Amino acid sequence: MYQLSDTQIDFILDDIRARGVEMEGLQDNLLDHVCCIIEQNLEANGDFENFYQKTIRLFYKDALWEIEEETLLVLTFKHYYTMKKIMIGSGVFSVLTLTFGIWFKFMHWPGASILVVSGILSGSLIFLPLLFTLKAKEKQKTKDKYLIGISALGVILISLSFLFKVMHWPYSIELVYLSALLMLLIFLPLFFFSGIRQEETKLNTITTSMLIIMVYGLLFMMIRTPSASMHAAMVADQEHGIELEILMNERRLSEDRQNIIPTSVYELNQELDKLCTECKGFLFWKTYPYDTASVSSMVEFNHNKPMLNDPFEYDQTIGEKLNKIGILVEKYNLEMAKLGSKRLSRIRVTATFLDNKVKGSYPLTIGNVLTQLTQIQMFVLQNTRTLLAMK
Amino acid sequence: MYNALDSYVYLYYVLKYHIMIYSSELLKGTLKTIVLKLLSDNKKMYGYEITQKVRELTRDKIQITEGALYPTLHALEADGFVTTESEFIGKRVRKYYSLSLSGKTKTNEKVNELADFMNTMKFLLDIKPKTA
Repeated sequence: MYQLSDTQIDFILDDIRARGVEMEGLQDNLLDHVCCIIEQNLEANGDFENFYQKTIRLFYKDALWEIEEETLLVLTFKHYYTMKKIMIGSGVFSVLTLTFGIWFKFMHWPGASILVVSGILSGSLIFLPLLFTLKAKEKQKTKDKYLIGISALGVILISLSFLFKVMHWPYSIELVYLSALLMLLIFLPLFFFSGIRQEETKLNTITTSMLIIMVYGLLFMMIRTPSASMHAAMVADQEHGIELEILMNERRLSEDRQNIIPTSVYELNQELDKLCTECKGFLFWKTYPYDTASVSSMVEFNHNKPMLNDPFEYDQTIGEKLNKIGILVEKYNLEMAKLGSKRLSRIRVTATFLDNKVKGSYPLTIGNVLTQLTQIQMFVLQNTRTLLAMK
Repeated sequence: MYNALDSYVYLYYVLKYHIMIYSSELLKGTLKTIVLKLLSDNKKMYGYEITQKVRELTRDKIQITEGALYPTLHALEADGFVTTESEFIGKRVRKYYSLSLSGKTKTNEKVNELADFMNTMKFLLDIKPKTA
């Protein structure tokens, strides 16, 4: 029967800690266990140091911290199944909502965007993180765990960028760039050079690397470069400027004689023109101050960041104004029909923002709506000139 | 009671004379049941005591390693099947384990399951019962 001194107990505890056991409960358990063995089996005058080293050696195969690792593994094993269940559940949910969302979108049924958003969100924020966490757990080396983490982030960013794209939220392109940066400049070199060294992973590494480059290559083929979108926006701005100039010219041609035409038509003309101008101003004011009355300010807004290719979104203020225009256009077309001349044009409604089928289901850009408003004004002015000529 | 031989020497004998001890693979699935059953028979036990008790009861045929015992005890604690109380033995802390209420139900469940399993294995492997 050996009697352990306090110093010896401290020595054992320090040694257990030094061997990488960090959990306090486990330290206490192991300390007590070793002490029991020593006290039970070592003779009173035995060699403590030697006996301790032999005893502790029997606790493990390669290192003492294996016990802690095993403990942690057993403790997380419980969560492992819950995580797996949630992963599969969220995966199924994501696939179903996404599939139905796309179908709804194609059919222009309501609820499509809710389905798409919840599908992509659950897929990229629940399913993918869990999938990669579980995959990382299977890996032994810390480096492999990091690699899986980086690739997870890369895939999640791509997935979110698609969500941002379909929802017309800003920074969708930036997310793709960030993902490409992570995957091509950080993940790929690490993955490639660690995998190529081993004979058994060599082929797999090469093919996977090529696939990654291919996927990003194809992705970038689909993306309009910043300079191309800048160019497209400049073209749209230019077109809008030309439309405005033609409108001004048309207005000048009949400006001083407008009151000669029938009063009912004249009043409708005035009201329509005023509303259209108001709407155009409103569409611009939301982006930058713009006075539709003066052509000189065109130069000014060409220097600002063009927004004409941005999607047009119905909100209440603009929606009310556009509805009013719709009612006036209907009245105007009836009035034209009453006058009975084939030379008088009707204002077209089909496939414009006035078309009820278009509202909310087909995307229009701000530029589209501006052009359609100008076209209404043009129809009105040209009919005015026709009426004057008929006099 | 086993206390004459230290573990190191014991292992030496095991290796030298091939005394039959069950493989850790075989014990893996039953360790929880063994620990739970021991705790239900003895009010409270600490780790070393459990290993010694098992050796004594099985005449050294079952030797629970520290590497298997403590992870199991921690898992049982995390599941709420056992509760612990700490006691100071001089400078060191000794953790005593005892069954919780749910642990008692779990013990019955586990023991019955294992008994049933053993019967099935007997049938499956066609082991004739040894009549004493």
